Amino acid sequence: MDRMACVELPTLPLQLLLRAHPEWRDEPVALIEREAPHAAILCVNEEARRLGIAPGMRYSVALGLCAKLCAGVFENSAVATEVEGIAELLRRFSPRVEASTEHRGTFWLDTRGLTPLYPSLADWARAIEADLCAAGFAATIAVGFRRFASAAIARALARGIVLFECAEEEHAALLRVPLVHIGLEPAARAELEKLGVERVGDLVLLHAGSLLRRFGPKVHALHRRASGDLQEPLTPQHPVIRPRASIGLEFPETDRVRLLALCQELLAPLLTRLEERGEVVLTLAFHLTLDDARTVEEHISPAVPTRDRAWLVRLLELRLESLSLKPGVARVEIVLEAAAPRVAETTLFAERPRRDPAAAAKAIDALTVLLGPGSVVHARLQDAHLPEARFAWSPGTLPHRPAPHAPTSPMLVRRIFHAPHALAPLAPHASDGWLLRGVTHGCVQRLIGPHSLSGGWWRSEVERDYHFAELKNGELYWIFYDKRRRRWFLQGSVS
Amino acid sequence: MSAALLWCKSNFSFLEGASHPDELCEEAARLGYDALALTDRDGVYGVVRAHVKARDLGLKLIVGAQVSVDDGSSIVLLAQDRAGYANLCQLLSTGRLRSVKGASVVSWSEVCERASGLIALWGGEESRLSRAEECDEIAGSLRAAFGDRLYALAARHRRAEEVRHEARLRERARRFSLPVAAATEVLYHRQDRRRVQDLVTCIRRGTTISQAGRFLKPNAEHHLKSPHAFAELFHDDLVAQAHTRDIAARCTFSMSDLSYRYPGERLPDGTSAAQWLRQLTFEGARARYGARIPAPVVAQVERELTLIDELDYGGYFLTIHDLVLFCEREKILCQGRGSAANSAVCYCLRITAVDPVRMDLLFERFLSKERAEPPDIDLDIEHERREEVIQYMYAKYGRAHAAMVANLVCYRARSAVRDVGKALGWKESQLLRVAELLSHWDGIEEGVFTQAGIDTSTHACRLLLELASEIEGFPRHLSIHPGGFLLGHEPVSTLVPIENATMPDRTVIQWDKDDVEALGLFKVDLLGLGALTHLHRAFDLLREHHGLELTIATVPPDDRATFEQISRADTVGVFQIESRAQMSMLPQLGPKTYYDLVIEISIVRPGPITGGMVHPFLRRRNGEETVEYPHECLRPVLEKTLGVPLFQEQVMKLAVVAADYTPGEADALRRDMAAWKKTGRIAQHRERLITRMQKKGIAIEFAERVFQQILGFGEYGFPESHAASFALISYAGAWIKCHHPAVFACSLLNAQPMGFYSVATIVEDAKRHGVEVRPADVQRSRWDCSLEKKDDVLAVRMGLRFVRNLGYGAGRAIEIAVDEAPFTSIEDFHRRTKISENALKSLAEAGAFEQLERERRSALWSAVGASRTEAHEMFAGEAHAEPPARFAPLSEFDTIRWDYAATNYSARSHPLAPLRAELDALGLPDARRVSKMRDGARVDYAGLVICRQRPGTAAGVTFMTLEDETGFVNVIVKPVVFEAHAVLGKTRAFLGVSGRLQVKGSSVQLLAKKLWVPEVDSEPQSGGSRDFH
Repeated sequence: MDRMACVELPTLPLQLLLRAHPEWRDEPVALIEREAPHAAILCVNEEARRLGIAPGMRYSVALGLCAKLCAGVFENSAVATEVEGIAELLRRFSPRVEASTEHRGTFWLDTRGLTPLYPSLADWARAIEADLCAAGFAATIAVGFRRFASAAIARALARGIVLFECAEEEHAALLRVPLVHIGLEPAARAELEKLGVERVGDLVLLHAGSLLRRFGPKVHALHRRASGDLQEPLTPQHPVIRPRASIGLEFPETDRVRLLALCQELLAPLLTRLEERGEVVLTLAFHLTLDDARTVEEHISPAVPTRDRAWLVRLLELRLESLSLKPGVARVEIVLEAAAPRVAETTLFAERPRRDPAAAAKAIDALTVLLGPGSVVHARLQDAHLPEARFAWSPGTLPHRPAPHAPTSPMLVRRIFHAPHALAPLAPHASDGWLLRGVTHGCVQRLIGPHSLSGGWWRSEVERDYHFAELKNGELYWIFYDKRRRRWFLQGSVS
Repeated sequence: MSAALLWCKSNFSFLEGASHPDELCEEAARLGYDALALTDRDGVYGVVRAHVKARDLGLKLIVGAQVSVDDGSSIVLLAQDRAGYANLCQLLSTGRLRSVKGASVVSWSEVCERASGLIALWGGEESRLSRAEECDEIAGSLRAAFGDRLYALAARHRRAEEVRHEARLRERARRFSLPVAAATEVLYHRQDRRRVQDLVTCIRRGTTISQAGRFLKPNAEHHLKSPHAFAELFHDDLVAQAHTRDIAARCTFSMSDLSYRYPGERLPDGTSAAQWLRQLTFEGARARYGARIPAPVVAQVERELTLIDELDYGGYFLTIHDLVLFCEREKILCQGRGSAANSAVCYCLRITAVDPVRMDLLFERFLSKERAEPPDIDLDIEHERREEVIQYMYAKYGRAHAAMVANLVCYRARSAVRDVGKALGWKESQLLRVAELLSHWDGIEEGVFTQAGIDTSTHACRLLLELASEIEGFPRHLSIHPGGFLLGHEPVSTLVPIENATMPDRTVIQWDKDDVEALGLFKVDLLGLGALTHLHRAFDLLREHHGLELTIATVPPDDRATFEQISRADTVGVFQIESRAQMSMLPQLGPKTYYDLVIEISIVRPGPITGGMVHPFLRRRNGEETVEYPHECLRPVLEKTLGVPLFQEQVMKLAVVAADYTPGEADALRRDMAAWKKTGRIAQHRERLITRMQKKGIAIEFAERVFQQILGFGEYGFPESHAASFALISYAGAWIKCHHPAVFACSLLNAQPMGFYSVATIVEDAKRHGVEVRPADVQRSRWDCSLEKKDDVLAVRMGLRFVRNLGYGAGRAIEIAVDEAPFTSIEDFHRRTKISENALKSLAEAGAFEQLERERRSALWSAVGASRTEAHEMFAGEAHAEPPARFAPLSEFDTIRWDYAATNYSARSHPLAPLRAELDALGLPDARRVSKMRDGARVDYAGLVICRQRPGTAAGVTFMTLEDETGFVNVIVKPVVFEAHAVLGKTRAFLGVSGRLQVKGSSVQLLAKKLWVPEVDSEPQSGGSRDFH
C-alpha cells in the first residue's frame, strides 16, 4: 500500500498574523474576520484563551475581557499566497504536494520514491518539521496510508511527528481522534457531541443511512471516509513554470551592444515556446549579476501584451542604456510572465481613429522604459477645496480619453503653478501701488475678493484669502494671502 | 430693530449644526443682536431651549425652519404669527410623516398651501433661485402664495462661486420683483466650532475627515458674525440689510404665545369640568372613607379642588380618571406613582392608592400656585397590557390630538469617542478598546486612552480627546419616550411637528419631556410596570386555586409573618426590595410596619446614601444614638424619620417650618436642588435658609449640615409619596410570597421578563421555600407555568415559554394538539404540531419528551430524525425501518446542564448539587453553612454568580451575589481586589472567593480578598448573571 504524509500547520492564519506582528508574540492575540467591533473572532493564541477569549466570540465582547487584546485581520488572498509559498517549500521534500482547499494549513505529501534520499521516513519528516520551524511555522506531521486518516491524526496531534507502520495501526489511531479534527461542520459536530458521539470511533458505530437522513451527505461522506469505505487519492498541484533562460559569461561584459545580442539569443527560444503555447508577454524580467556579485533586477511591462520580438528587444535596449554596467555583467537571466492574448477581433470593423493608439502605447512604453516607472502620468480630478489638491497625478495613461463639453460662452482659463510662488512682502495698498509682477507689468489696478479657503486642521491647517488681481497691463493673476505664514502668494494666472 | 440673524441652525439640525441653541442665543446677545431666528432643518427641535435662553437674555427669538423640498432644494420659513407657526408645524409634520425616520420632504404646492403667516427666505446654496436650472414656475407659485412675504436671500460666506450664484439670484429677484435680504448661514456660534461642524458632516456622510473632500464647507465663515462684520460683508447692499431688519421686525410670534388648551372631556350636559371633578372626587371619597368623610380629608380635598379650578387643570384630572376607569373596566392593574400620591383628589379618584391625609403628605410637592406649571401624573400599568391603554388614548383623542413625547438621545462619552474617532480615521478596533473602558457616567478621561495602550501625547489623540469632549451632549437623534403623551384640544401638529418613530405605527413629537414641561404643557405618562403584571397574575391564581378574592388594597395589612420574612431579606422577586443593596439593608432596618417599608425603599437611594443619612438613621432606629432635633419646631417634620431627613417632602417642609418658605418656594427649592449641578441656582437658597434658620434659633452648624444634606440629596432622592405607592406593591408581593409561595413563584415566572433575577434564581428560590417545581412536559405543560394540585399541595408545572427556540405560536400549537389527544410518540408530536426543528430539538434537550422517550439523547435522535425526514417517508413507515441507535445515558450533572442549555433553569436540581461531595472534599462550605459562621471568620466559598453590581455611589466597589443549592452568599469586592482578578470577576460564572465574613445581626457579607477558579471535574452550567452598572 502506498504511503503518504500529512503536514498540518494549526491555525495557519493566526500563525501568519503573528509572523506579521512579531511584537505580539507574548501578548493575547486574536484573529478577527474583519476590522469591526462586532466582527467574530476566528482563532486565538494560548494567552488569549487563558483570559477566557474563545473563537466565535465578538471582538467587542473579547475586549471587555481584555482591553489589551491584540487583534488583526489576515486577508484570505494573503493566506492563499502564503499557502502557495509553503507548498513550494514542501516541494523540496516531495515533488507531489497537495494543499487542502477546504482547510488552510493542511498539506499532503506523496512519500513514494523518497527512500533512497533519506535514511528513513522519520528523518524525512523531521527535516520537514525543521525547515518549517526555520520559516517560522509550527507544524505536526502524520506519516500514514490514508489521506483522511493522516490529516485527522495530524490535526489531533499536539506537536511533533507520528509514523505508522501499518494501515491497521493508523485506523486504530483514527478511531481515537476527537470529532473536532475531521472537518465536520460546527453545527453537525455539536449535535453529534450532544448525542455522546465524540470520537471517530463513536461515529463509525452509527448506521450510515440514519446519519445520511439526519445530517446529510457531507457527514455521510465523512462517515464513509472514516470507516474506510471511501478512499481518495492524492491530487497534487503543479507549480506554474515561467519560461526562463540564463547564461554565465566567462569575462565580465560592459559592452551594451554585445549584451543586447546575448539577450536576443536568450529571448528567441523563449518567444518560440510562448508562440507554441499561444501566449504573449505580460512582463519581461531580466536579472543581471555583476562581477562584484551585486544584482540588478529590471521589469519591462509593455502597455499592450505582445510577442513582438523586435519591440521587446528595442525596450530592452532602451532599458540597458539607462543602466550602469560597471564592473561588468557576469550572468544574464531572462524570465517571462505570459498570458493568453486579448481577443482583438471585435475591433476589426470599428471605425479607426485618426490617432494611432498602438503607436501611442509604444511611445509611452519607450518613455517609461527610458525614464523609469512613473515618468508618464495623467491628471486625475480630486474632491477637495484647495486648488493644488483638486487634482493628482496618476502613473500611466488615461484609461479613457476625456470628452469635455464644448463651452457655451467664452471662458477664462486659470493656470496654476505646480507650487504657489511667494510674492514680495509688499503691502497691497502701498502709495505707489502694488507691483505684483515687477515694474514692467504695472501695478495692481483692481483686487477682487477675498474668497476664503481654510481647512486641513486635522494635519496642518491652511487659511487663505484669495483675490483676483488685475494689473495695469491688463493681466489677471490669482493670488492669495496666507494668514498662517503672513504673506502673499501667486497661485496662478488667468487668461 | 438694529441687527438680526435670520438663518441659524443649531445642533438640532442633527449632524449639521455645531452649537447648542442656547450657545447661539448667548453669543447673539453678547454681540449685540436684537433678534435671532432658529431655523433648524425640517424641525423645531431646539426652539424651546432657545426660547428659554432668549427669554432670560432679552433676545427676540424668531421661530422658523429650513424646509427640504422634493426637488432637492430647500427654503427657509419664518413664523410671523401664531397661525404661521401652526402652518410651519403642520407643513413639517406632513414632510416628516411621509418620510422614513430622520428624513422629511414636502412639495412646492404644500409649501404654498401653508404660506399663511409665514415669511419665506429663498436663497442659499441649496436654493432653486440661485441654481442654474430655471425656476419661473416655482417663483410664480411662491409669489402668489406668499405675496410680499417672499424674499430672495443673498447669503455670503466668502466663497468664490457665490459671486456667480448671487448674480443669478439678483437677476431673478429683479425679474420676479422680490426684495433681497441679506444673511449668512450660521452653523456654529464661534469660529472654533468649525472643526466640530466638519466632524458632524463626516459622521452624517459616513466618511472620514481626510476623505470628506467637498462634503466639508470650504472655510470657517458659518459662524455668528458681529453686526459690524455682517454690515461689512454686505457693505455694497444697504437695502438688503434693511430688508433683513424689516423681516425680523415683521416676525412677532413668540413661543410664549402658545396658548394651550387641554382636550375637553365629554362632560354630562351643562356640567363644567370643575363641577364634574368635584362630584367624582366626593363620590370617590365616600367610597374610600365611607359616608362620613373625615373633616381633614374634606378640608384637604376642598383646598386641592379650589387650586385645580383656579389653575383650570380639571380636564387633566378627568382624563387620568378616565384612564383609570378604562383600566378597571378592562381589568388592567394600574396605579399612580410619583408626586401624584400627595394629592387627596388623586386618591379619591382611585388614581393613586396612598391616603395622603393619613400619611401627612405634602400636597405642594405635587401642585402649587407659585410653580404655575401643570401637574405631572405618572400612571404605572401592567407592562404586558400598556399597549392597550396607549391604543385607547389614540382611539379616544385621535392621532391628531395625541402624540407621544420624544426622548432626546445625545452623545455620551462612548458614542462621542466612537463617532469622532471614526470620522478622524481611527481604526474601529482601537476605538472599541477605548469605548469599552469608558464608564457610563464619567466624561471622556485621558487616562482611559492610556489604559487602552494609546499614546495621548500624539496630535491624533489630542484631537480625538478635544473634539469628542466637545461633541459630548450634542443631540444625536430622537427616540420614543417610555410612555409620555402630549394631548391637545387643537391638533397637536399645530403646536409641534409630529414625526414617525422607529416603532411601527408610532408617532412622536419633536420635543422631549423637558421641553413640554418648560412650555407648561400637559403630558400623561403611561409607564409599564412588571410588578403589576406579577400581582395581577398572582391574584388570578389565588382566586382560581384558593378562592381568595384580593386586590392590592385588600391584601391583609400588618402581617407579622410577612414582615419577619422581609426582615430576613427573603425577598427574591419582591418589587423594589429584591436588589442586592436592599437585601443587605433589610436585616439592618428590620421593617415591622408598612411605613418602615416606605423608609426601606427610600433609604437605599443615592441621595440618602451620599447625603450621609443612612447610618445616623439606622443608629437612631437601633437605639444606638439619641433621637434629637435641632429645634423643637422641626420635630413634627422629622419625627417620623427620627430626626433625619430622608424624603424630598421633608426637605421642603423643613424649609417651610425653619426658614419660612412658602410651600411654593419650597417646591422651587426642591427643583433647584434637583438641578443644582446644572444651574447653580441652589446657591441663592443657601444664605436664605441659613440666615432664617439662625433667626429661629437653630445652630449654624445644623443649618449648614441641613444645606449640605440638601446638596447631597440632589436629584437622587425619592418623594415620600412615590415610595409610599411603591411600598404598597412591595407589601402585597411579600405577603403572597410569605403565604402562597407556589402562587408567588408561578405568577412571577409568568410575568417574566421583569425584575432583578433570572428564571433559574426564581426557580431555585421557590424550591428552597418548599415549592415543588416540575419540569416542562409536552403532555402536561401549557405555554405559561401552571399550578398542579397533589394532596392539597400546589406544585409549579413549568410552562413551555422558557424552552429555547419555541415561540408563542408553537406553544399554542402544542396546547391545541394535546387538548385533542395525548401524543403517542415524538413522530406523532411532530406530525401534529408541525413545529420547527430547532424547537423540537430544544424540547428534547429540555426533557419535555420524557413521557414519550425516557432517554434524552434517544429523544434528541428521534426529534432530529422526525424533523429531517420527509413527510412521505414517515407515512410510508420508512422512518421506522432504521436500526435502533444506542447512546450513553446522561449523568446527573449532564442532565442539569442540558436543562440549563435548553431552558436556562433546571427544575430537577441545582447545578452545584451534583458537585457538593466534590466541593465538600475541597473544604468549601455551602451558603447555609456560611450564613451561620461568626463575624471575622476566614471563608473559602464557591458558587454561581447570579448578580454583579457596581453602583455609582460605591466608589468602585463591586457587589456580587453567589448562589448554590442552599442559598445566597453576598460578596463585596473592593476595587483593588477586583482589578487584581478582573478577568475572573467579569467572566466566571462558577467562582471561588476567599475572604473574611462581616456579620451584623442577620446581615452576612463576605469581604473578598481573592477570587479564584474552583478546581472541579466539570464546569457547572449557569442560568446567567444579571449584571448592572
